[in-house]
Amino acid sequence: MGKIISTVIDIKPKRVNNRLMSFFFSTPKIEDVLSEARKLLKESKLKAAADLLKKAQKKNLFHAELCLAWSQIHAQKGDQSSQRAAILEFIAEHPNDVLHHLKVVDFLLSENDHHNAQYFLTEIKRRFPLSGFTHTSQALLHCEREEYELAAGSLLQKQEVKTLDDGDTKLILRIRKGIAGKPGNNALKLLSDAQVRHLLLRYAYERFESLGGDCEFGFHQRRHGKEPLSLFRWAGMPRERMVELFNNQLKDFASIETAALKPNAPGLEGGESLEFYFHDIKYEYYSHTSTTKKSVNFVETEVDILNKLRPHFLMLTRKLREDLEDGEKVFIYKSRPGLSIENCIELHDALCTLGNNKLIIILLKEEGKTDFEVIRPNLLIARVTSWWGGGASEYTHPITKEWDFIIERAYQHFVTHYPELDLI
Amino acid sequence: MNINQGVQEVFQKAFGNPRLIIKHNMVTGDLKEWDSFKNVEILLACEARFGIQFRSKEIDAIRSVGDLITACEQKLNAA
Repeated sequence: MGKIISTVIDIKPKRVNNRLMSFFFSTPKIEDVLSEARKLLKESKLKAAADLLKKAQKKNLFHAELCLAWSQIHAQKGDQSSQRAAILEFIAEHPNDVLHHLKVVDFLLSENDHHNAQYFLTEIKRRFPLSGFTHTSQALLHCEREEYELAAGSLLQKQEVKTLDDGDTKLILRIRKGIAGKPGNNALKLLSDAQVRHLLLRYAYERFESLGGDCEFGFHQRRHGKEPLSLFRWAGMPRERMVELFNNQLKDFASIETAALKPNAPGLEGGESLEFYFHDIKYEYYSHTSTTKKSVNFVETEVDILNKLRPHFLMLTRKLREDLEDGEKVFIYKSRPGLSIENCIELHDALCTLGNNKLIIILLKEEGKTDFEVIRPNLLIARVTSWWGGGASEYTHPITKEWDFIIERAYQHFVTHYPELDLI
Repeated sequence: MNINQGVQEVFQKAFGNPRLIIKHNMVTGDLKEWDSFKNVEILLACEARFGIQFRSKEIDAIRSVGDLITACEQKLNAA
């Protein structure tokens, strides 16, 4: 009998083409209720939204987020005391979790309700005086109000109880941009702080995408705790083939016809190991795969392994295509000696086939040539004393400082010419 | 669809450990053999499991298991 009723109930919403009716007749999910309530609130249909929430609660469907939806209804009615009561009910779900409390601030900020956001944040700071998260939220609230000097002050306060982390980087960038060359004491102190400079450098490293040459830049990113996914991070190919690849708009790369597996690869470190390398025959591309003869099932043939690995490279190709089209990253290519300016320009032109892209080419120092050369506003050449062997044991190698300096300088150069690069 | 559970099963299969329990604050390197190669495997498995496709920017924004779960939720909600 129960089964028959539920079948009938399942059919009804299809007959009645009404999203609300469908909600009443089927078993509602909390996500659906919340999404429906948000839509109704956006349309200022307060009564319909309230009915929806009441029905959900009658069906014993309870979720803290419903309280926030109620608070929105009360806010739209102008009933601040009920709004705050609903928010307190939300908080009561996890009273000892500061991050749960701070969801309220994020929520109110998303509603542009700065007044109540500050009210609750003050309460939360009182309750959790040693939490660093509250200072981050306070800095965010100040940034939203364009109070950048105060925002800098909040991050300095955070430093007194906790270290700043990657979550603060975008706030620091907003502050740097917001003060527009007229920093107050707090902003000056914050931006000259060694920890802040390190965070900004980490962020800059992430904005760069390796075009290979070899794996050195991948290790520099790892040195800064960054592990981005990219097609060339652990790979290499001849420059001429790379030009061809970009001019062909990545066509046929890693296709069934051109993909192959190699137990050893020329020119890549670790060639004597038992690792399988992914190889594109057409473009002479080789990449580490982290797949070794030991790590695969002994019944798997090389064809099986290749079939498993090819989607991996197709995904990274898809990702690179989007990055090239978006033009929001800085590509970095490390070249062996012998690369002329014309070669650099040819590579950059090819890179721009799919979008307006920025490129920095790293070469070894040469007598009579500057260490940092601007060829085009979006094409740089930087020169380093030597290559780095890589590996965690060499993170203090002197060359790492040269790379940090280059990345910082190149990032500043590109941000000056392309301000949109910051805060992406 | 329980996304938490789905992502957990993806991790269990990727690391060959059916008892693996994921936590939202877990990041690359927290488990043995968890490197950037493994991340591509995990992303591909999530795409296949939930019938979604991540954009490059979305992939770049994923820094933890919690971010991955949120990204899957957002893709499914937007579908």
